[in-house]
This record gives sequence, structure tokens and C-alpha cells, in this order.
Amino acid sequence: MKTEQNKTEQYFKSRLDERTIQPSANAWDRLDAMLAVAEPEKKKSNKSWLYIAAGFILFMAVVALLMQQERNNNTIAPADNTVVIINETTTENVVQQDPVPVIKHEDINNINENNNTVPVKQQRAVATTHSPVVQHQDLQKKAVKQTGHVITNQNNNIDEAIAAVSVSAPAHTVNQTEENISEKKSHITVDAERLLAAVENSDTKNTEIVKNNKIKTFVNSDNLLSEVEGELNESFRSRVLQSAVKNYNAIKTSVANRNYQ
Amino acid sequence: MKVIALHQQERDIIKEAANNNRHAQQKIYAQHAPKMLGVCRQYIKDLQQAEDIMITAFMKVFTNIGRFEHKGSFEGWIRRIMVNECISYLRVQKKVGFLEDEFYVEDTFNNIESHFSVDDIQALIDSLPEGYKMVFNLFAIEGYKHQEIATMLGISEGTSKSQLSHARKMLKEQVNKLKNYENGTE
Repeated sequence: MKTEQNKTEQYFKSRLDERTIQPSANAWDRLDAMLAVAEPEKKKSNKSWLYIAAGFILFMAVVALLMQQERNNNTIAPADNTVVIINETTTENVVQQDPVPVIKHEDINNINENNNTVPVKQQRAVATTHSPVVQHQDLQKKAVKQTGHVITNQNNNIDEAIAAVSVSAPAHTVNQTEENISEKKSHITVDAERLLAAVENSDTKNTEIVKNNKIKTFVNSDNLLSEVEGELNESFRSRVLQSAVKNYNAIKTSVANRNYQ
Repeated sequence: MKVIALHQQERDIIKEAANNNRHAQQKIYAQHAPKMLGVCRQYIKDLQQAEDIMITAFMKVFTNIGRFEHKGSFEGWIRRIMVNECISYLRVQKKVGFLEDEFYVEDTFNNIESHFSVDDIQALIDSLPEGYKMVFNLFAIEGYKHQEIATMLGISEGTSKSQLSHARKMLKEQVNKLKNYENGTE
């Protein structure tokens, strides 16, 4: 009954089952291309691991190289730090030591009352010590220039102090050339007690300044060397980084091209 | 003896195709493509679109050919993949709408018209709405049961039956129209 009912459907089915439609000529080519694209993905996935591993090893090597470079820099770096600190301390010392002539200035005023010629020279010396410390901003330049000024001023102070010492208290020992001492001896006639007091204050501080100045001259050369080395390291680092980036890009493009092919 | 040899030959080709032997794959394609394009054409009106879907379905055939267990016919397995691909295409395109109508009449569709060509039959099927057409194709041409159709399309069994009933009714009307037109009565 059911088969009889669906005779038309069976007829439709038999006719449609017999039907064949020839696909277009490029249908197989399209399928072939799709299969070709699907196949290499599996094969290339194994090779891509090799490229990834190679890239990782290269990256690690570059990182290790850079770490080593940084370690080398760190060994040099403390020298830089000490240089900077020394400069700061010296400038601070110089600034702090500036009042020393001011104290002398009071003394000098007292001496002026006694109609002496020496305080005028000392005032000039004080004025010259103040002006360069305030005007210069760069620490290194400060150090160099201040040392020059301070040394000259100190020389003046020391000369005068030594002259006083040579008059009143020969027990003090100051590093000074004999020529300066002989010159000053001829000029100065000062109250011995006042100058001795001034010398006692200035003597210890001046010796510190002289020491600091010696250190400064030593430090400046190191500073220059470290600067040059730092610049060289930076240029080398930038070159290594550039080469690493180039290699990475080359690998990346080659992998991408392979995947695309 | 000849049948056993042919069966063995088919097994060998399938095995080679599973190993990505392009020659074997092309042989399978050449053997089954014309018939499978006809199957796709039953569901999809546009021939070019039907061909695209057939190619996609063949791609699935060759990527999953290793899973074929030789329990049924190889052609039936390919055909099933083609039908599933057509259904999923139509569902993605949202071209199919099923009216949740469980009212149906056991209609008879017994007007045997032996003079109808394949193109006439295809034209009659194409005139049906997508939902009716799909259920009619699956039930009447592919031989699926309502329960299977309901599972495949995600509808109830009653909806599948009602869709078939409506399809038969419409086809009957179309056949009568065609007959009247040929007889010159209309």
C-alpha cells in the first residue's frame, strides 16, 4: 500500500539517482589546491618548531652577550660613582670653606683699624673665591674651574698665613715653596697673635682643600676615561641590538614566506 | 570473483587516498563527482553554488577518509557527507525556515508521470519552499526516516511529517498544473 502510495516518489528517486552532472573543468584543480594547502600545514608544523627553537637560542645568546656587557659596565661603574661623589664633596667643601676668608675678613677689618695694608689683598681674594662658585653650573667644570680659583686663593691665603707663621710661630709646617715665603717675608708686618689665630683656622681647612684638589685632578682623568668607555659600550650595545633585530626580522620573514608557500 | 576483486581495488584506492596519494584521490573524485554534484543540485538551486559545496564536501571526504570503516558502501558514505554539507550550508545561510506545524494528512502522491524528465522533476522540487524541499529530499529521495530527519534538522518528528505532507500537496498541485498545461486545458 505504502509503496503504491509513493510510486511517484520512487519514480522521482530513480530518475534523480540516475542523474549525473559533470563538474566544471577547474573543479578538480580547485580541490587539488585546497588539498595542497591543507597537507603542508601538518608537515610544516614540525619544521616551524625548529625555526622557533633556533630563534629562541639566538635570542638567549644575544641576551647572554648583553648581560656580560652589563657586568663589565658594572665593574667600571663604581669608579664613575666615586668620581661623581668626590666632585660633589669637593664643591661642597669649597662652598663651605668659602666662609673661611669671611672670618678672616672680620679679622682683616680689625687689622684695618690698625692701618695695615694686607687686608685689602685678602678682601680681593675673598671676592674672587665667591664669584666662580656661584656662576658655574656644570659640576665637572665647576670642579676644574673652582680648583683653579681656590688654589690661587688658597695660595694667597697660605702665603699670607705662612708669612705670619714665619714671623710669629715657626713651628707650623705648610707645603709651600721657599720663593713665595721669601717674597712674603719682605712685605708683611702684621700683628702676630691675630694672624696666628687666623692661620690655625685656615691651616687645617686649606690642607683639606689641597688634598681635595689633588684628588680632583686625579679623578677628572678617570671620569674622562669612564665617559669614553661608556660611550664605546653604548655604541657597541646598540650595534649588537641592531644586528640581533635584523637577524630576527630575517628569520621571521623567511618563516612567514615558507608558511605562505 | 569479479565483485571481490573490485571491492579489493576500491579498498586499495581508499587506503592510498588516506595516505594523501593525489592520484588515488583524483580517481575517487572522477568516479563520484558527477553523481555527487547531482545530489548537491537537489538541495541547492544554483549549480555553481552546488559545485562549490561539492568541492568542500570532497575536501571533508579526503581529510576523513581514514575514518571510513568499510562497513557500508563507500558511495553511500560520500553521499551522506554531501547531504550533510548541503544542509549545514542552507542552515548557515538561514535559507531554511520550518513552521512548527504538527498537523499533517497522510496524502497519496501517486500520479505516475513517466514522461517527466529529470529536469522537470528538478523544476518541481525547486518550486517547493526550502523547508518542504529539504524534508521531501531527505525522506523521499535519500530514504531517511522522520526520526532521523528530525535529529538532523533539529525539529520535531511531527514537524518533519507535516513538512512532508505540505510538500506532497504542493507537488501534486504542480504536477496537475503541468499536466493541464501539456493537455492544453489551461
